[in-house]
Amino acid sequence: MWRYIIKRILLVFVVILGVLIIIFILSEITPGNPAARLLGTEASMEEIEAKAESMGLNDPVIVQFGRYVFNFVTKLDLGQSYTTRQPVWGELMTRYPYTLTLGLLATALAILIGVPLGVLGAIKQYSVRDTVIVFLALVLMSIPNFWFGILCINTFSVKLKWLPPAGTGTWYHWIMPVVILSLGGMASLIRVTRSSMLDTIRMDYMRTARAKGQKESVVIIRHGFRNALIPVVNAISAQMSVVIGGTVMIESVFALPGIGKYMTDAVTALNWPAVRGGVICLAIAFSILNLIVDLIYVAIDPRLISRYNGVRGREIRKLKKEMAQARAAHAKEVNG
Amino acid sequence: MVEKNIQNNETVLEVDDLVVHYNTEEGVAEAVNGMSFTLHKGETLGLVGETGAGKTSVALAIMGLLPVPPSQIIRGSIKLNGEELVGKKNKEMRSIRGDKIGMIFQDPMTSLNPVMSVGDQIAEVIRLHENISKGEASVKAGKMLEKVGIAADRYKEYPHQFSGGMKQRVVIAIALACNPNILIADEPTTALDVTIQAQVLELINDLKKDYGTSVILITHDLGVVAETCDRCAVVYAGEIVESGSLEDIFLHAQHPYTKGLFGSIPRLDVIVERLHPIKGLMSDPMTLPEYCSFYDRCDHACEECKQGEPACMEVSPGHIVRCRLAHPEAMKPESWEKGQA
Ligand SMILES: Nc1ncnc2c1ncn2[C@@H]1O[C@H](COP(=O)(O)OP(=O)(O)O)[C@@H](O)[C@H]1O
Ligand code: SF4
Ligand SMILES: [Mg+2]
Repeated sequence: MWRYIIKRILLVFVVILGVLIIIFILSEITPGNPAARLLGTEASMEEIEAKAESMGLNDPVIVQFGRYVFNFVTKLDLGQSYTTRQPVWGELMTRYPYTLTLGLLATALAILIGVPLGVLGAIKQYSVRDTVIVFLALVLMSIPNFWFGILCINTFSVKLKWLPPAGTGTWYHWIMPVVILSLGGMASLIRVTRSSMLDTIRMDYMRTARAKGQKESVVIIRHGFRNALIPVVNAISAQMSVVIGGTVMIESVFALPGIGKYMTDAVTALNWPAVRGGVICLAIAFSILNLIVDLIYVAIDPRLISRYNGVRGREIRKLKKEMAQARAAHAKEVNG
Repeated sequence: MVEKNIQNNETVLEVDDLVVHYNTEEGVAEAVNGMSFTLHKGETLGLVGETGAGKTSVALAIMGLLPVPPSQIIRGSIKLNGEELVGKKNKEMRSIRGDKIGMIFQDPMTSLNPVMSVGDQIAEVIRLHENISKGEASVKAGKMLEKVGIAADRYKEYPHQFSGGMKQRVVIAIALACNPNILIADEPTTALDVTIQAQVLELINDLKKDYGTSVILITHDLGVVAETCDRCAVVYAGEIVESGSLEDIFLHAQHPYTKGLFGSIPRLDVIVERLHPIKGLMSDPMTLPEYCSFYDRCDHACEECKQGEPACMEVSPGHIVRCRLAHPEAMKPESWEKGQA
């Protein structure tokens, strides 16, 4: 178990290093002189040359990469933004909470509504309730976020004046962005939970649980739901990448100062250090979320760890031991 | 009833004229058609019949676990220690299931929850019916594991870490954990290797004796019946076509279907030219005739058999045959002597 967990944590570092390499190569091959961009249009050639030298831009690429990683790891230094001349890390940190709040709230809402609806549909398959839930999932799935966002602003902010159209400040500001961002995930969670529950409801162990005299609700939750969870957790983790992508668009529609907005601005301004930093931050968040999901898997399904190192590993070790003993006995016989 | 080993025994379960239908889109499947039988204390009753004969449906009806819809108990009664079970509220049935009646299912590979440790699965049923703490239930579950021949220190292991035979042992432990009056074993060995089958049957037999449990053993294997049962009922198309003691069924079978079942078993002691499996297919429960259900497959069928359902005849004490051709075993004095002793 611990072997798996440690291995899985190490994998996070490998993934982040991989992302760093790719991002670094990409920004290397994009045109433009960082020193010139930092100093602005009025700087002379000499000034730019001096700045480039001090920034180490004349060193071999591998050295630059090493320095970039070193600075990031030791000083959390991701370079300076071309547009504001401020350290990228600091700018990201002021924006991170917005994206994180938006993403986590949207994911939580999708789970809290999608999963119970899926279960409720499945336990009464083909009932009116189930039909309504399936239809709802279909509608939610086909709503385009961007269009729906504008529509909502129009209705709830402009016409009804219930909710603020954009910006931050109160928790009212979060309602529309979070709800809209959660819809796609909610739809897919309804569908996945429902079909996964339908599969487990038919399983023999559900009947065994009923044969014990267990209450139907407990049979469904303790025996059915826990088994149905594996595909659901899978869907949640897939959904998180969609949500992270979705924050970029939602943040622009609702003018939320998060990382998504920061990155769209940075891309339009060709502000590479900022883009690079943003991508790295998202990659880290993403790796950690995936790590958590994988650990949840392990907690739900005991078969995963066994498949990894359990029964077979034990058998193989035993076999190896027996073979060694046989070999030793054979050697003894030959020699003795 | 004058049969020796039954005489003094009280009746634990009495099924009377039970009719179970499944209402499906394709039509009504008449799975159980007026089955009646009794189970006495400490006895093992075998229910034998081909797949689709309605054996599982009877078992589920007794447990109150028939899936509704599509199934429906049309009529009949099921009495446990004199108490009527048909029509009982689900809540009342819950206190009976697992406590008074335990059940073992056909496929041990799928009857256990894969994400729950085997010990916890046993402890669950104990906690439901006995007013004891979690810790005490665990201790008891551990003892139950030992009883079925699994080391108690495997309590925390999961079903995938056990072989098929071991899983069936766990299922047996669950079924017997609360010391039920009745154990229903629905083809408990069908899914197991032949070598394991004997062990599991032996275990059921031993535990049954220890606990004084009455057992309904459902099987399609007459060999299993011969080894473990006291009495046997042959089920065809939802009806009991012949029932009686092992001797009645194995030595003096009268129903053509029962005889056919024996004809389709390979025998080692007698050299037979070829096996004689019963011709034709199992009757379709959707289209059962008004007359004898076995008519289409019967070698002795004649016009007379089409005149309605054949009546049950008690050809010797406790030996009941549902066939027009059934005749009293008057010429068999040894069975009479035995019966009246
Ligand atoms: N869930 C169900 N839905 C519809 N029909 C069923 C269902 N279960 C059983 N049946 C019908 O009942 C008949 C008897 O089935 P079953 O009791 O499982 O027999 P056995 O256990 O002897 O093989 C089957 O032939 C089938 O047509
Ligand atoms: S009643 Fe007729 S058809 Fe039915 S089993 Fe007896 S002989 Fe055969
Ligand atoms: Mg069956």
